[in-house]
Amino acid sequence: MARNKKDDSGIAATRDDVERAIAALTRADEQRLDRFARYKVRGLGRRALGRDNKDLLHDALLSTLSGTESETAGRRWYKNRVDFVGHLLGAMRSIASHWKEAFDEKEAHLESEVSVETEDGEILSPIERTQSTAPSQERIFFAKEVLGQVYKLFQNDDLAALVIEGIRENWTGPETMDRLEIPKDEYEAAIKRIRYQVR
Amino acid sequence: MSTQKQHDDELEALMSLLAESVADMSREQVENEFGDEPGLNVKSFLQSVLKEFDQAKLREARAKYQSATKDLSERSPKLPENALEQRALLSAFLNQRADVRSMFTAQFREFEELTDSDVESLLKQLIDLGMI
Repeated sequence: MARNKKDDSGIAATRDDVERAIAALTRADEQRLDRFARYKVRGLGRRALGRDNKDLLHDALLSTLSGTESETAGRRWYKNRVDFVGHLLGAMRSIASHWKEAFDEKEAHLESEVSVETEDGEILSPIERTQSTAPSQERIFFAKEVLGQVYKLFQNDDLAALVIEGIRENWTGPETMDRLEIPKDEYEAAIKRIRYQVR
Repeated sequence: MSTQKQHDDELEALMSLLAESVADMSREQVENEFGDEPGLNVKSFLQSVLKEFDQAKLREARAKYQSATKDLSERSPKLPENALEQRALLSAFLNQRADVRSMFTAQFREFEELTDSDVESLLKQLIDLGMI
């Protein structure tokens, strides 16, 4: 029998639904949300502008609560489509992506506004000029340093190194498995080893 | 693309992959892999965010109420301060509104018999009704 499309899956959760869902979180839910938030913020690097996993979780819930009161503001949780943890993961994905875009747009604007031409005709961006003059380059090279440390960890783990190579090529998981002919269970085991090392 | 941006994107791709792998793990896998590790008390933290949201709403409602009552008191005409002026205002109003005057005489018979406090009370009621 065809399922009635006009079920209640489009009904947004109320503030009380959210409160009950928070109270019902298990330790595994908490670990999943916390780890996910940490990885997302670490991935943003300097684009996070000092924000951390708590800021990401905070904004995800605040957006959800705003969505319980407004059709236009915040993010609505349709509790019959996705569970609360799945909803918060989606909210965090979206917010992290927004932080990244906002940073990139601002940086692109800054670069186009403040880039200078040297006597040789070379265009120097403010970032490059900062790199050459900053007393501490720790923040500037944050991503490079972290990546260097990660790659070093897996120099003797061929499979994990291949998975990382796939990431560098901007391939998705299935693409990496397909192109490098890695069986799914071996791919997942390699991801687990990377996850274990990169806490 | 600058080298800096390439590194940023590469780091993001790596960490996103790990984040998504956590999202896809079964409950048992999460418990086995992270169970004993200390981490943020997410439940307690989210409850504090909920409290913060409720308090912000309360502040917003209070500010709206205060703004509305302030607006109302600013819009309401002020009563003359002395009794003679109040009586003159009520008289002038009743002279202009024959319909109210007829109701008024049925209730009070003689205007002159009204006490000062009756006059003040009537004026306040007329203001509340939006008639003055």
